[in-house]
Amino acid sequence: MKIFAAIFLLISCNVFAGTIKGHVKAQPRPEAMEDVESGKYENRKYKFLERVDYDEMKDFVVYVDQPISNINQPPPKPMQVVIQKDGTFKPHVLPVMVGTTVEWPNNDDIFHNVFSISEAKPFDLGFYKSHEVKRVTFDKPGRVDIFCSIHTRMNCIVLVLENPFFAATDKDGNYQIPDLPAGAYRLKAWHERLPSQTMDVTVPVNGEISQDFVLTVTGLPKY
Amino acid sequence: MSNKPYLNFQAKVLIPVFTLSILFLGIILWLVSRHLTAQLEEDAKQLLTTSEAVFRDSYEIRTRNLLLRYQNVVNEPRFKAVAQLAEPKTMTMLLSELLIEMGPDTEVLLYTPAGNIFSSAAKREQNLNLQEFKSRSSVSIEDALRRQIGADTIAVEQRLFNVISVPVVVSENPAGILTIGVRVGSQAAQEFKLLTRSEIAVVVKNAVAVSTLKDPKFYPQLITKFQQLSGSQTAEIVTPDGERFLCMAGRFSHSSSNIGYLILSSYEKALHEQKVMQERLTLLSLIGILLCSLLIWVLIRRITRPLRELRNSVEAVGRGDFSQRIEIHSNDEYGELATVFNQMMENLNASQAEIQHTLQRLKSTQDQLVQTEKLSAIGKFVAGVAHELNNPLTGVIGFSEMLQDTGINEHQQNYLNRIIDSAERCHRIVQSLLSFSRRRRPERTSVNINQLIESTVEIFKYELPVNNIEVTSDFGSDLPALLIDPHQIQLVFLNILNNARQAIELRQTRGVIHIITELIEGHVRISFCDNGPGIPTENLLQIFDPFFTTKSVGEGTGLGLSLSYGIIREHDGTIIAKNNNGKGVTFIIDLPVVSIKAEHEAVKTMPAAMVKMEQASANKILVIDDEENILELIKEALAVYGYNVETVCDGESAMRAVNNQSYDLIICDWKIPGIGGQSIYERLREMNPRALEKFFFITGDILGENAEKFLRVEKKICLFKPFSIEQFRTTVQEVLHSNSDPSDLTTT
Repeated sequence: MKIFAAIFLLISCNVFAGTIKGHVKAQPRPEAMEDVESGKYENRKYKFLERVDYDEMKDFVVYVDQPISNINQPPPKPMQVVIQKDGTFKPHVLPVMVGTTVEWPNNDDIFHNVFSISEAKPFDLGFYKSHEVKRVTFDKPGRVDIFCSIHTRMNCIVLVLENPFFAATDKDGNYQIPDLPAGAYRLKAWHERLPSQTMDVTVPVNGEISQDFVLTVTGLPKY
Repeated sequence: MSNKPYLNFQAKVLIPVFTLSILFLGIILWLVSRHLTAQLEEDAKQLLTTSEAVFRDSYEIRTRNLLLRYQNVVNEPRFKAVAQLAEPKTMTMLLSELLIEMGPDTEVLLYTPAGNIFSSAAKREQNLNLQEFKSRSSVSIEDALRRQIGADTIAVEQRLFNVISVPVVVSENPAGILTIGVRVGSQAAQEFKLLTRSEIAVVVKNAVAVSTLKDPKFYPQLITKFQQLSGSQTAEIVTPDGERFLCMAGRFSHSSSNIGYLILSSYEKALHEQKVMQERLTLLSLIGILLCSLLIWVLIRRITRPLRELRNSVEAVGRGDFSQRIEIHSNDEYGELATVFNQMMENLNASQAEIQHTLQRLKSTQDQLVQTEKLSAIGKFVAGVAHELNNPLTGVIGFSEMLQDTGINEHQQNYLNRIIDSAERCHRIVQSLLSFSRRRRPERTSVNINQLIESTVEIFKYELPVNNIEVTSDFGSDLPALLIDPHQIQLVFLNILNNARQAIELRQTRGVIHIITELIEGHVRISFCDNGPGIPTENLLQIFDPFFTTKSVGEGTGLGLSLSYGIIREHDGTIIAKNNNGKGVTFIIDLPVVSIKAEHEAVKTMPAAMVKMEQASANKILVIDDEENILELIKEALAVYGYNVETVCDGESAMRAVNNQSYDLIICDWKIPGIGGQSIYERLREMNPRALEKFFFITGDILGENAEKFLRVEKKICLFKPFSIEQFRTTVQEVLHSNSDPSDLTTT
């Protein structure tokens, strides 16, 4: 029965929903490229600037940035895992729907600590080693930055979203949001270090649309 | 001349100046160099000492900075948390992270917990022996255990570290020690080098751990030096790679381990600069000396230029060029020298001219002497001839006169007259020959020369106008009276005028003779200037020679001018002839003006007292003569008047005759062969002075001065041959009737 229901749902989704596919990439400002080429950054003034490799940027998240009223359902994946291995959190960016619980296993044989002071979910799991499993449930939407108090470079982001229509890009920057009911949406591409970009898309009843994003630094304040 | 080599002034001045300059330069350079080198070493030593102080200081500061930098690491919450966890792996992980955060100079982080149960460490270089690091850091760690901050310098495997040990306190309890090892590497050494400009070498266990001297081949030398110097504070010179360093050794005072350092201060650059400066100095000095020498050379050359000119001039003078003069360039000693030289040359020139003048005068005097000698020789010859002629002429004239009285017819009388005339002419020729021989002194009297000339011209009063010859005169008005023999001088004037007249009338139709008298420097000059044809130059020298004539035979004897010459010479005057520039000849006669008193010996002339011939009253007369003719003539002439005449022909016979009897009158020839008239007279005087009371001489010659003097002293007269019978008789009468004082008697 359950299976049937699921199949039905699937079919119904297939019947009444579309898919958004696309590609996200980051690129520097054109002026910045010119500046690099003209050797502006060779100046000692810019000695301590961080050189950002836009091509290496990943962990983009694309999601529908609007409340969807007629869909009121629990998260499709109620349990997610972020492991600690070799002094890093994996994955680095984890988009979840509100109400999702995340497990924090320590796979290193040294102590780690997992804590956050973000408004959406402040918590501190304390020091622990591999044999312990600790969980945190994110019940408010928002961006939660999580750190290890010992290892300053250990951090990850749990992006808590309001609806299930989101996707993280794969290593090539491709994403796919399936089963989106037909309609017009505000689609947002996000990256932890770049300004987000919003696009209005219309999802057909059946079929898929393509929407690519190119994230760049724009509208920087003038000094 | 010494045998020293010739050195000119330039060499004499330049050689000592040059030598002294070079010597002084050498000495000064040596002194300066010595001083500078000493100064340099002193400076290097000073620099080295300062460098060492700076090194120690900067090392101290570095350590302190490291302390400040790392002491707060342990207060970080995560460090404290991990320390509290006391889990080595977590700590190791943290240390590794911290190591990355701390930057590249932090090499090792070592955590030693209290109780020393385990220790965790992170290192940058994988091959570092952590165990050794730990053991070497023990001093510092122990300091930290006593809750102090430990700092030390250690060496691990030839690597030098600053270690800082900081105690970690958790909840008021000591939890452990964090030891940080900071590598003291070549970067720190370079920084030090930049700060102090000195090289540094850190020696660890007899090996160089860190050095700013890159080349490892110097290290053994440095180590040897370090071993020598460590412990002492002295600085020594070390020369790796030929570069000179002053070096000083020291130890890091934090531990007693054998970590030390060598600080090397190079003064090669300073030495090089000194050398360059020295070379420049030498070069400049040499150039200076050369320039000075050149200047001196030029100056001396300029100074000695007048000297060389003087030498050239003197050389020229030596060659006989007296016209040399030196230009006076400067108003100094050389100017004076030149002036004096020029003055000397003036004087030399003057004396040279004087010598030339004197020489010329000597020459002309010699010429005159030759002329005089010539005249004298000819005079003697002529006198001899004349004497020889006089005796026969006396015979000719005497006997001719006597023949006149013998009652011959008119036709014969005519012949006889001609004979007498010819004889008289011969007599005159002989007379002129004799007077030419000048045995007679001029009979001087005070004469107005102008009047004498006028009276001479008067003689030609009729002759000259006929030949269209005009005589003009320009007489000096203030001429003094001259003491001369007017007859002789007149003869000279006559000769000159006659010659002029003859020359003019022979060649041209009219002429002028201009006569000038003037007073010139104690002489009266009489110039006879004609405009005749002149005398050829080749003849001009000979015209005063006797018997020189250009006239045809019979017109002149060639004695006129020669005679004139003799007369003028006798008057201490000169006569010269020269051709006028234009035409004709000028005779110039200079006669000296003589004080009248000095030579006033005017010979009194006495009119011959013509005593009437009376019959001789058988007076006995002795005649001494070598000429038979004369003796015969006298005998005949006197016998007519009744005189008793005895004749002898030589001195001996005369002596005998006088011895035998006394004579009323003795007549003696002046020239008797063998003994001579004067000797006969003297011997007769010895024998019988009384016999000589009535005595006179006859002579065919002219009497010399001695003879005249003798006659004046003895108061005897002399009758000159040839004489006329009448003349002779008169003389005999006069002598016979004189009162034994016949001094007033004279003959012409």
